[in-house]
Amino acid sequence: MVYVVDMKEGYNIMKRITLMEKERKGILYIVLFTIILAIIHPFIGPYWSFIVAYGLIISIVGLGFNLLLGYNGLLSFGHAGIFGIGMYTLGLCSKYFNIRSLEILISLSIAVGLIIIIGLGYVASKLIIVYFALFMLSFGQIIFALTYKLYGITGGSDGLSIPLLTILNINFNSRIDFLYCYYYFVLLIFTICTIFMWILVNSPFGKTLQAIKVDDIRATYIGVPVRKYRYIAFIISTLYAVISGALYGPLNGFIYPELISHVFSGEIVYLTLLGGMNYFAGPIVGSFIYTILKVYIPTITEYWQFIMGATLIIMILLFPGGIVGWIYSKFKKR
Amino acid sequence: MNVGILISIFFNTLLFFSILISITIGLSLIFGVLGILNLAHGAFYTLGAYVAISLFSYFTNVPPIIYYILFFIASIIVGIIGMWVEPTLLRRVYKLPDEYQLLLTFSLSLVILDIIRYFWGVMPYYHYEFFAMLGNSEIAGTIYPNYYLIAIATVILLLILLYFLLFKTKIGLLIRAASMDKEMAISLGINVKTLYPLVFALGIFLCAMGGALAIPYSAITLGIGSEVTAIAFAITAMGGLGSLKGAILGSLIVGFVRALGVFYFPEIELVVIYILMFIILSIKPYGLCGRYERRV
Amino acid sequence: MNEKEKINRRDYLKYTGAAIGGLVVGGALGYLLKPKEIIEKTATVTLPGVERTVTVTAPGIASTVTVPQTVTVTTEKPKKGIPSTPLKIGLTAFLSGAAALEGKHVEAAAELLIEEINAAGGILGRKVELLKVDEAIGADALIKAVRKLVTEDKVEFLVGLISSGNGTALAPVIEKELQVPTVYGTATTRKLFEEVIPKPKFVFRASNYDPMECIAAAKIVFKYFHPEVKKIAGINPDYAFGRDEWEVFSKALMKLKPDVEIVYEGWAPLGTTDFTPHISAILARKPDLVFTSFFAGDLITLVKQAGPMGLFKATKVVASVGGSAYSDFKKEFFPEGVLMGTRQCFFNYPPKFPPMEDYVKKYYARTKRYPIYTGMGTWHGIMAFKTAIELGYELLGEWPDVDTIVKLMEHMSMITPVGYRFIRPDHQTVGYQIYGITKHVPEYDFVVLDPMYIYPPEEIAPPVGVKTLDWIASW
Repeated sequence: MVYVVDMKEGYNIMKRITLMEKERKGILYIVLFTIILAIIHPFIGPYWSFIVAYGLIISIVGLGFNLLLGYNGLLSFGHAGIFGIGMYTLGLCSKYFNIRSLEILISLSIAVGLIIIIGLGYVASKLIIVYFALFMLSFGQIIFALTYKLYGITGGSDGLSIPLLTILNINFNSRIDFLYCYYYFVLLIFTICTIFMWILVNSPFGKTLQAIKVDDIRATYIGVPVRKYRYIAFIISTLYAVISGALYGPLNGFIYPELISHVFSGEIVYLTLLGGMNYFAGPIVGSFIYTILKVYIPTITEYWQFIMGATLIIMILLFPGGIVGWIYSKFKKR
Repeated sequence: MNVGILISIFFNTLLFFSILISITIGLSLIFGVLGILNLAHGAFYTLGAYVAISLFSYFTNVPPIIYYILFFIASIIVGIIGMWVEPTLLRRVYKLPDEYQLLLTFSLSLVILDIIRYFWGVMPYYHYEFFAMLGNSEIAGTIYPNYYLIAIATVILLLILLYFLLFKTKIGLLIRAASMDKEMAISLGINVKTLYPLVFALGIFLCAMGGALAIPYSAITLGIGSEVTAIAFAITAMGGLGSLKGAILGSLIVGFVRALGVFYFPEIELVVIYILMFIILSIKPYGLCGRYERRV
Repeated sequence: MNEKEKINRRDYLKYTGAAIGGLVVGGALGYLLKPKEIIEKTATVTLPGVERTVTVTAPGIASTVTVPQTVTVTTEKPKKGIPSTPLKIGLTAFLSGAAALEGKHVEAAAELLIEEINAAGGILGRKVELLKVDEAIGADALIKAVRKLVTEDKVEFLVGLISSGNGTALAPVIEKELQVPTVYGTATTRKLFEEVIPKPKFVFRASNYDPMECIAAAKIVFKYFHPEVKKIAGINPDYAFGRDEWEVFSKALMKLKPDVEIVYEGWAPLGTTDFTPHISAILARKPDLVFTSFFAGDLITLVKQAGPMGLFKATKVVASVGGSAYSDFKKEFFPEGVLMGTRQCFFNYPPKFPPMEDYVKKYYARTKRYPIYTGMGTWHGIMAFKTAIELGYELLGEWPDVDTIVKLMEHMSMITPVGYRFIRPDHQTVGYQIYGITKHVPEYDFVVLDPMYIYPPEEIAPPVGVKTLDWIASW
């Protein structure tokens, strides 16, 4: 943390002013987005509000994931496992300790998640590129295997059902009522997370991370404690995944191991790239498109894996900037 | 602890080793020379199995040697397909950062799997005759199917041939040179453009062979690739990417641990491998035998 | 009985009064607002033993014959309560993967029955449409898909469902949220009605469930293989169903025969392609009996790998759900001497039973295979739903609402191609359970069962309201 302060001194005031302006504009957009989503909610019906809430939750893990990928050049194939830690902590606590309060459960998930990822990050920050990817893959698979095999505790592949929870100690009569309020809760968390992430990536810390991404050896030479930065970025990234996972349980009403297999990790990668990994809004756009695709494509064709793969190949070869990148380039032309 | 169990563990280790090495050696080879981590390897393994089983279905009541030859033919076919993939798709992403390559091969695996699904459908395929034809042997009181012994022998034979290719022939020298320093190799006049597809095809050939060998005792479905791939990646990382020795070592260790684990702790056979990779990477971030691979 | 008569008389008066009034008013209105097409249709309501004809004609056609017990109504006013839209039924089954060998039977049985129903005019005149969902997408996606079927596609009845895992996940959603009558073809874990939804309203189950086949297996082993069986091993699928089967079987057997020892418990996921490590482990421990609840494609894989390794020579094998795809268990790889369970359905039982013989002919012509229990469960589910609707219409004069339908389905007993099936008040259907020792005969290319062991429900199913494990403990 000492170094962050140093870095802050290092940057000159001019940069600081422009940063603030850009920051403020970004926050404005985010808040605007939130308000729109909040207002349209009563009009879109339970089915669509479910989809939007799902998109918001996946956006959170996407943002966290992209902190490592777009801003740090580290591809993690195991974020689904971290997601699973959040998800199952919430599920197990609600089942075995009979806790019904949403706030307490989420706080517990964050606490447990933090303990794990602090230890994990210490090791992970040593690794680079493919080793990092595979390390995270193996961790994700361990979590998956644990949730699958510990049948007596987690219910194995039968899954766990999440009971009706209370928000702010209000009891709900039915799931529909609960989901109505839950939507706003998720929206709130989403806004907080997004604003925080935005400030973070535009801060000197975020800029330094990008410097590390471009050339980590050079960064070490100019005095950046690369490993420490990676460690912090890792913790924040995985924390987002934990939060996202914890939020997912109550929305779905039901959690099970196959959700957090390496397939889901792959899908997180996919949606980030689809939206554009070099842009802040990329994961958000990507996750909404992914959510909608996942609901509707299986009804049109069985070969949605093919579509996913083919679109990704086209994206990589023709639009490395993703959808957001493509939109930006359109704007620039004007 | 009787001799029967020891014999079973010994041969099971070799059997798992054979399946795993056929995938990991190709993976390490491709990474070492081309610098690409081929996430589509599992899909090619699956493709090898499906192509082979289709070939098998045309021949019934033939002597075992014909089936044996069909294994190789199927793998060569898939190898050729691999040879086509490299110049068309992979070449475009060499210049892009690493993440893009991983993503490209990942998407390729999705595409291949659905293509398999389109042509072969979703029902599982079986081919039993070859396995039954070969019968069993009795080794020190335990019955062990002959087919497994032949599969093990085939893979070991291929490994020996590979060793000769890489270390005793001129083309092997070229391949090794290209893997150590691509720029230098090009400037020395080595035609990398023709070398790369060949190496890729070789890796795919070995991997498809693994898939084909799985047919006689396994059900061939779309899922066979993903389970084995994840483990293969774990091994390759454990042994160190690009290191052939590491691949062999890793496959042996994992084969042994799996054979042991299934006997005594069947519940955790899945997890053990990942725990192992986790531990090894924690201590040695570049794997057991890996070298620091810096791409310019 | 009295009550039924009273209702009938009242309804009869109601009908006649409505008819006269309807004719007058409807005729006038219809003449004024007549649509271009003239629609004439006849709906036949068939109930066990009673037949009545309701003729619907358009106004303007002079030849309307009114006879006792016939009611004439104009098309402008559809009969109160019968919607004119097609009746949509949702079907879930494994349509891909190793379990698809079983799932395809569910699909075929449903399609066959619905074609017959539609050819006879549908259910009270409504054509039946089948919407399908593949269970292999996983419990989570399945719940979402089923939700969409009910809320967006307006499906009124759900049938099928093979996996116990999917079944226990979907059940609370149906009971609390979707609330449509549902009949599970299989999903046989006892936990469904013992733990997950102890007071089911909408969910029924059509096939014999786990306790029935596991207790039958335990009784057969005790009666016919005792005292040689001392050490047992299990290799079962690692999810609700497999866990359930092994638990009930081992507890039941150990209650009957306390000296039995478990030497190996193997768990492998559905869709495992390599059982060899488990088989080696089992062989090394030399059990006297191996119990497996693997089914369909997985059972084929297991048998194909176990055969050459000598499992069937070394020990006795019980395959509790062999009935899942027995037409595919070819003589070439499936050995004789295996104790195989087929729940309530085997193609040649009951012997010389005309409904079964007719059904087998139709079914084989369509699928080149013989029917299995899940298909018959699906058949039974759809038939029970149809019968409940027609009965409700008969009693109330209008399309019955959901609460009436499910009430009528309880206590329903029916002759099906596999014999007599009874839906208990706790929503579990029971009938006899078939087991047999596999045998190779020249007439068929798959294994048949000879000798057969048939158990009636009283001996193998816990009474209504009693939990399985409590019942076993009380023997």
